[in-house]
Amino acid sequence: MKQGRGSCRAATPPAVLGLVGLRAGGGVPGSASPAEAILSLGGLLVLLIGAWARGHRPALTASWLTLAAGAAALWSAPVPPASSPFFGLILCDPFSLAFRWLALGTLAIVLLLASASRELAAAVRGECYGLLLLLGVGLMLMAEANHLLMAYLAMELVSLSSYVLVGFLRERRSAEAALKYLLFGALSSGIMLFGMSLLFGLTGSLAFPDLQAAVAGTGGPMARALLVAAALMLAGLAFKISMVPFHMWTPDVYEGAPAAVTALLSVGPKAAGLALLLRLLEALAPLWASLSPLLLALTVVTMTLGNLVALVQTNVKRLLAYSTIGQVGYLLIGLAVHTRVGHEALLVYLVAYLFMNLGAFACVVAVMNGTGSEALEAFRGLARRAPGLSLAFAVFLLSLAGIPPLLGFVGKFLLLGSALDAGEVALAVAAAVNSAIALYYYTNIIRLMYFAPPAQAEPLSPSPSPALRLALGSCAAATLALGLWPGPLLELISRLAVVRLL
Amino acid sequence: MSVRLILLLSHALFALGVYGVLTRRHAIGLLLSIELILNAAALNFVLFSRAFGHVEAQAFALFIIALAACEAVVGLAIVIGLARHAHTVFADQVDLLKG
Repeated sequence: MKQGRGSCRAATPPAVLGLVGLRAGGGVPGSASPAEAILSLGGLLVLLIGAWARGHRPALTASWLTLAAGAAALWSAPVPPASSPFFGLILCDPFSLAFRWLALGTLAIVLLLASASRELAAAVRGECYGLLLLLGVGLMLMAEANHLLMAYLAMELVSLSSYVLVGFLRERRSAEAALKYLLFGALSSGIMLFGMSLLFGLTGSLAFPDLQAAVAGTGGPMARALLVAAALMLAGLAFKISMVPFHMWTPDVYEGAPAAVTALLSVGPKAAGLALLLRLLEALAPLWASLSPLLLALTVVTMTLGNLVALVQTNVKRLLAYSTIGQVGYLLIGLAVHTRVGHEALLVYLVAYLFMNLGAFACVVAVMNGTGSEALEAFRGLARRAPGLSLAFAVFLLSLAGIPPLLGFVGKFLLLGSALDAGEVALAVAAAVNSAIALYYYTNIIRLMYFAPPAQAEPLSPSPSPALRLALGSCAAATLALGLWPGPLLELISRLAVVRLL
Repeated sequence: MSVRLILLLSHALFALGVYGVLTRRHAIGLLLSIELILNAAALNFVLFSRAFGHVEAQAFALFIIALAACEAVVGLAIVIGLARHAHTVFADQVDLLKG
């Protein structure tokens, strides 16, 4: 780690080459990120195949091959306790490994959804897969970033791919959502960048470990200037994870985007953004005393606002958007308590959130394929038209609400436990009250599916395709099985969560 | 020019950009204002890299220029899509999604 940083300043050009993955594995001691190189090259290749080949099948096959090769590379790469290849731009430690697997898992399920969704025209679907893979690379790099430049580049890679993906449908709502996302996103990344430049001006360092040392040594009026710079920078990240008061874009963008893309946006960037936020806060740790009251307050406001506004929604994608804001509020607990237990709980809840939220979106895709509607009314009497699908959706919603014995309960239990453990009783109470509020709108959908008479009696057609069944089945199985036997997952995560993040 | 003067310039650019984002209605005007903010940050990086003799920050400024171009490409593509499907390029007429 020291070595990488030491050679950093003199050797900027090779570091630049390293960014595009050209030097992956070559020459740099301790380098271990061929997975990102495979995914980025594969993503570019899939974009080309998607543009030239007829139909989306060749691009889909290439994407699965790329994803499998990336997973194999990640599986076989040795994980040293911590190494920072590419001249300290990224940090490979067990913590980032966990987030890289989360990104790959999200990508795999979203690929299933995108290939099964009838919304996306077959002619452009190939390009959609390529952009998804590139977005996945951005997610991995966000979790690994150990340098302000890498943090910015990774976030922009995620943002630029998602702006395009949101606007993928050839209709007005999708174009509007893309414009809103672009304008809000570009503004917030500009503000974040300005904050980074001020931070650099005040400390003279860009790498996170140097930054931490420099921040610790700053006092007097400069410390107040540092707070301003940190606030500007954190605002950009808060936008990415839709934390109040930077959440306004979320419902509009989630409603206008294709359902598969909404599924990705509600999980991938949230997980990666939380990882980056955790590392940045660690780099700014000397300011923690000033930042933590604000973070605690925003955590409570985020979950309360998300859950309250979700109560009155009539469009299922919009409802899940507000539910996402509420869930981000729960996730922020793990960050706000700033303990190892909190970090572990955050990771467990992220795994749970991945399966239950992507599963819920798989159900939305299935219903949209069958009815063409995304209104809550489309779920009326669904239990009689598609019993299996309704059962799976009920499982995901109950897990999101945190009902035992599902995986969502395990995660939420650990988060509340970590809040109590850190002495933040008010935070735990707020989260518990919010869970009760959230239960209302989640169970309302279940009531519609099971107890309301259907508008049509015939079975949902077409019934979910094999890809969709696979996504639904694996998410439901994971939510149930890991909820009943959480032991192995908890043990794995207790080995991956680390105290030292830099 | 002194460091103080250039800092004043970069902050003025940033303020102009934010003011533009808040007042413009035309999508392209909004994109231009955001560009001002990015350039204010790039100017800061160049200034500080000279002050500290820090090479990495200059690379940062170059990356900002490249990414600003990418953002303009994606932004203009989205504006063209909007003009095709919604027949407008004014941000205040983008009002189908709400609630």
